[in-house]
Amino acid sequence: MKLLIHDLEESQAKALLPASASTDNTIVISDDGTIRNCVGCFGCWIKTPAACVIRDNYGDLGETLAKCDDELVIISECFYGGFSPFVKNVMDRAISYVHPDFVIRNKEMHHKRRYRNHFDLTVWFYGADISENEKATALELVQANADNFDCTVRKVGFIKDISEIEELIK
Amino acid sequence: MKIALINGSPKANGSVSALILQSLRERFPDHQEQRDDGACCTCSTCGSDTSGACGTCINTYHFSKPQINQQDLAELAACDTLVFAFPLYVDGIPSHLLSCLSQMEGYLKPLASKEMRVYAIVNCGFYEGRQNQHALDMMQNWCAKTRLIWGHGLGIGGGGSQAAIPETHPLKKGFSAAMNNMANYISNGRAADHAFIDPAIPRILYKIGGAMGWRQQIKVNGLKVRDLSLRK
Repeated sequence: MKLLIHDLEESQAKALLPASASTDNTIVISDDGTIRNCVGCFGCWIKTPAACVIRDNYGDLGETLAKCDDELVIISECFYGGFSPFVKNVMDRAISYVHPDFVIRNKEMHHKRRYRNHFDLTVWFYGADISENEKATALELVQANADNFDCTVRKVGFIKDISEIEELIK
Repeated sequence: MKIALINGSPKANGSVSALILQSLRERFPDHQEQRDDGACCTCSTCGSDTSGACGTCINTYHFSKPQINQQDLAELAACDTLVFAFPLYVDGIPSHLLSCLSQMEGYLKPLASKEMRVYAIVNCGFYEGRQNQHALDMMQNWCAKTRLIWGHGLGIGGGGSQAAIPETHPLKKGFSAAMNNMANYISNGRAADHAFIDPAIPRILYKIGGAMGWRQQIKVNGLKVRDLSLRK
């Protein structure tokens, strides 16, 4: 199963993303305008383990990540060298994917795995004026995310215009 | 100098970021909160002059939602220094705070003549303070985009445990020194490279302590220890 997380408007997504993005083999997470932000309660670890206590349309993102055993593709506008608020919100709300206990991985402390699946991570950052410093931050950020998810970075790319994505993720 | 201390934790109460800002606040004993009506706080900083000319007020803000109200934006725009404290979320800035920063960028960028310095303190649950580096880099990138002056970033590992220790405790030596440095940089408008601090206990003890903490907390919630590992 593939997973696609993007912050495109519905009309953009329809025009730019391939038809395969909405097949049975790919789960798509997009912005329906209702997502609430993580409140830092750790309820997804100690109150309702593996599920967020906020029961909006984005309450089971950890479980969704666990179904991804192929590739996680993220398409996000670049904000200061990181993800856009919506994509970051999805990441923040998905921490039930990992276990609260710590392990030492690559000589650093990270969270233990909760699930056994493994995926590769591809990220496309878009924006008209992404600076070199932002690109450097973004590259390091995605590697840090991969260390925490215990996954592998397949590709990190930067595009000036979102219309370029059509060719890149065919 | 008008300073804004901005708590970027989404938690309404009891956040580590609030403790960190309180600790920093105590390093500016002569600075008072500006009154709600914007008048001078009549602190002792400028002696008997109560005109507000000294402008040494420190005000505290809490960004717990993804929007900032217009009054807070206007007050922040009048500050000389912004100090952010927030928790590390998935290697970066919490999403609600990211929305606030984007809103601030739109508001502050047109005020390009304003010389405003920005400092940030990020804390994480991981042992290594260095894991906060990407969030601090993003704050620095935000400054560049918003045309503000970046000052200094501090990354605190084991944030919760460090902030909760009494100020005079030997285990808080590194934390206190880093906060003294931060206060000094803010007072003098100085810039410095990011600094990172780890807890003053061995990593293995911190790791064991964390595991014990989660087990206690899940039992308090009426669940079993094995429920920590539930899968959906």
